[in-house]
Amino acid sequence: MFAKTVPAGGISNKDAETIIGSSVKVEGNFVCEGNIIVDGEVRGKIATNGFLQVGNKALIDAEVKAGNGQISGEIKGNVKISGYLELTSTAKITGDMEFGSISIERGAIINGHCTMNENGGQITPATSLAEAIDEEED
Amino acid sequence: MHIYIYDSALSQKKYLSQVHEVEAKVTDLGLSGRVSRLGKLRSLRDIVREELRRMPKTIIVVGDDSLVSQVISLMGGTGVALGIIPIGEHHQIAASLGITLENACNVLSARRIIEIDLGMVDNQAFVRRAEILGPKIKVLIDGNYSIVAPNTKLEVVNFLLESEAEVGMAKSDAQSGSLYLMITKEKNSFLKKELERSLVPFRELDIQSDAAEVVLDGLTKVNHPCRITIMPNGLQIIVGRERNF
Repeated sequence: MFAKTVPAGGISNKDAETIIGSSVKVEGNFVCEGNIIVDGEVRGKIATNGFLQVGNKALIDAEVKAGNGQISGEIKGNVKISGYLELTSTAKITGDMEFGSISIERGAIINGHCTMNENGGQITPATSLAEAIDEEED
Repeated sequence: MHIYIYDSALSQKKYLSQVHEVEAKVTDLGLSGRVSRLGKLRSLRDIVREELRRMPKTIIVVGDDSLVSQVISLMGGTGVALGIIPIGEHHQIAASLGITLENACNVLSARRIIEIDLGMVDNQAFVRRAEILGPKIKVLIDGNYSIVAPNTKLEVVNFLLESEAEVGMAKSDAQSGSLYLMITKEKNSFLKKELERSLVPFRELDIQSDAAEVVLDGLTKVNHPCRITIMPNGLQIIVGRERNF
């Protein structure tokens, strides 16, 4: 459903196939087919062809693959989003990112390389993006 | 042949007129059959096993949610269709299948049959939900990943009733081909109590705890359960037009 269109402001619980609340810890190969909301902890690997929404208190120590995504929490690991990736101001990503298109809100922290997969060209190194955001804030 | 299983509570005076009304309508519609009444001397398990040996066309439960759940758990995988005539205090299962006391006989006559999934705890079936009880429960989902959720309520849900729909499960119907692990955490704030719910669809769930128990549909307790699985299309059931799924 969300593979083609990306909802503004994320998805609601009703649109999610899988919801990981803040009191839940997941470990292993977390592979799903539909939309996922993560507000808890995940270690290992996350993969879905749907929409991945990471809440601002979520902690993910995993390789992440999804169709589209909105990230507000912390991810330690490489992130591969085939469609649109939205990073909100509370997002913190330590790892390389690959995506079709992206929007980054002021305040998001990125430590890694960014690659835009649609044209195959590597855009700006992520560290520079983060620095650019910091400079803009200053 | 139709087999009618009557709840023992139906012998109470307050239900007599409803039972007579149903019996008259059943006769009018040409749906008469053999009647088995639950009593103190025969267990439901014995009755259902005995009736299934007669190769009936339909087993019809005349009673409440509790009896419906128990009969369903005994009929999984038999291929015999189940009908419901809801008489008694609680009949939310029938309601979610579009069956009321008023339309039940006509629903039986129309014989609209669907197949629904059943949940299985080891070898015992459940229709709606199974609660996992015990300290420090760890579950393994589909052999791929484990979940730990301390101080929470863990339930496996096949389908939700209409009254439970606010939970927000998008595909909580009994034909989805998946069971859902529903994890509920109570969060007490100063002014109100809030529930945080997690949902995980699965087909196989292994319970990795020696002290766990599972309560099936709020009725039957299973000690030291190992595995919860789904029996896809495990039950043929007669439903009304106004069903939830």
